[in-house]
Amino acid sequence: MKKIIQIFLNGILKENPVLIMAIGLCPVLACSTTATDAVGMSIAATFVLVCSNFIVSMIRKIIPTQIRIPVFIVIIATFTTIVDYVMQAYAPRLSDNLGVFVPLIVVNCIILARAEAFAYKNSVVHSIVDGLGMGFGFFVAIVSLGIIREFLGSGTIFNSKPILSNPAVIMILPPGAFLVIGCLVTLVKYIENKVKKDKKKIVSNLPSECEGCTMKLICIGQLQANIKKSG
Amino acid sequence: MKINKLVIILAVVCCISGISLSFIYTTTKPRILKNKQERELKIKQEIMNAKNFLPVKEITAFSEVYRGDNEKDEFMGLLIKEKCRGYGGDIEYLVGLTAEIEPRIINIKILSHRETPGLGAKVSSEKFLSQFKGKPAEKIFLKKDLSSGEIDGITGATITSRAITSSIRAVLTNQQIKEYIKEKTSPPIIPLRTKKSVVQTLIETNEISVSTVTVH
Repeated sequence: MKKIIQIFLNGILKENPVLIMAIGLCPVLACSTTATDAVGMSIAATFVLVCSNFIVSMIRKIIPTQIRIPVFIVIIATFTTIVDYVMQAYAPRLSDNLGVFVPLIVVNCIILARAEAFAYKNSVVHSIVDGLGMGFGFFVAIVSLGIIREFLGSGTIFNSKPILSNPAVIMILPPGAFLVIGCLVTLVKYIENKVKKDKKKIVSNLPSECEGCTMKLICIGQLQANIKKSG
Repeated sequence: MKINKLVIILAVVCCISGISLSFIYTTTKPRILKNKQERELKIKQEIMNAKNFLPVKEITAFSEVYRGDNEKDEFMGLLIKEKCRGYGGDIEYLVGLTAEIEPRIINIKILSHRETPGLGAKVSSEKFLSQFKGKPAEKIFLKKDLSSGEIDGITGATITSRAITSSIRAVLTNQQIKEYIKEKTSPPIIPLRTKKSVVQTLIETNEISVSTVTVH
C-alpha cells in the first residue's frame, strides 16, 4: 500500500512529467489558453495514459523486446482514436475547441515514456497507479498554466465574467505559454533546491570517512530521524 | 523462425486494435452524424428565422445552397454553405443572405474549423462574425488591408481572418446568386385582363359615384 501511494505521489512531485522532467510540453503549451480546454486535454491524456499503461503491463511478458516500441505505438494510437471518437460523439464543443490536439495525444511523449520506462517493467496495479499519478501531475501543470494564462490573457477564469478589464493578449499567444511555464519551472526548481540544501547541511556535518560511501544517504535518513527524536 | 514470431505478434496486436477501433467507430458514428445534423439545423435557424430550408439546385457554384421560406412559403433569403482555406485547414461556414437585389449578410456561423485553439479558433466568436452583418461587399475588407474596409481582424490570426473575409466577399459578389435572387424577388406580373382601371376601383370603393344624366 505504501508503495502504491509512493508511486502516485512520484508522478505529481518528484517526477512531475512537465515541471521536473520537461516532457510532453507540446500539448501543455498549446492547449492551455483557457482553463476549460486544459482540463479537457488533461483528462483525455490521462485516460490514454492509464489505458496504455494497463494494456502494456498486462501483455509485457509476451511482447518481445525488439518490437516493443511499435506495439506501444499501436496501443496508444488505438486509445487516442477511441478518445477522439467518443469526444466527438458526446462532447462536441470540447472536441471543437481542442481541435487537432486530441489526435496528437498519440505523440505525447509522456505516454510512450511511461509505457517504456514503467509499465513494461512493473505489475498491472502499479502501472495503473503510475498512469494516474503521472496523469494527475500533467493535470496540475497544464491546469495551473491554463488558469494563469486565461486570467492574464483574457481576464477570465473558467469562462467566467471578465475580472481584468485590460488583459495582456500576449499571455494567450505562444510567447505567453513559454513565459508562464518558465516561471513555473523556476518556482519548482527553487523549492526543490531549498529542500536539497537542508539535506546537504547534514551531509557536511558528517565525518569525512562517509564521503563516497554508498550507505551515506540511508545514514542521513537515520540521522534526521535521530535529530527529530532528540529535538 | 524468430522473425516469423515477431511478425505474427505484431500482426495480432494490430488486428485486435483494428477490430476494437471499427467497433467504436460504428457505435459512435450515428451519434456523431446526428450531432452534426442537429447542430446544422440549429445554426440555420439561428441565422435565418425561416420555417423550412429547401435545397436550391440552380446555383452550382457552391456545394450546398438553401432557400429559407417563412410560414406563408414566401422567399426570405438564401443560405449558402461554403468553405475556405484557413491556417490549419478548411473552415466550413454557413452564410445567410437577404432577398434583395444587392444582397446583404444576415448572419454567419462557423460549422467546423481546424484553427489554433485560443487564436484562430476565435473565428467562430460572435464578436468577430457580427461585424459582417448588414454590410455590402465593398466594405468587407480587413481594416489593415484596405482603408475602406470595416472588418477588424482577429489578433494573432491574420491568415484566418483574411481567408474568411475574402471568401465571404466572393459569396456576396457571386453572379449566380445575384441572378437567382433577382429572379425570385422581382414583383409578380399581374395579367392585364384582371388589372382594374383606376376609375373602376374608385367606383367600387365608393370614392366617386356615377350618375346618368339624360340630355333632352
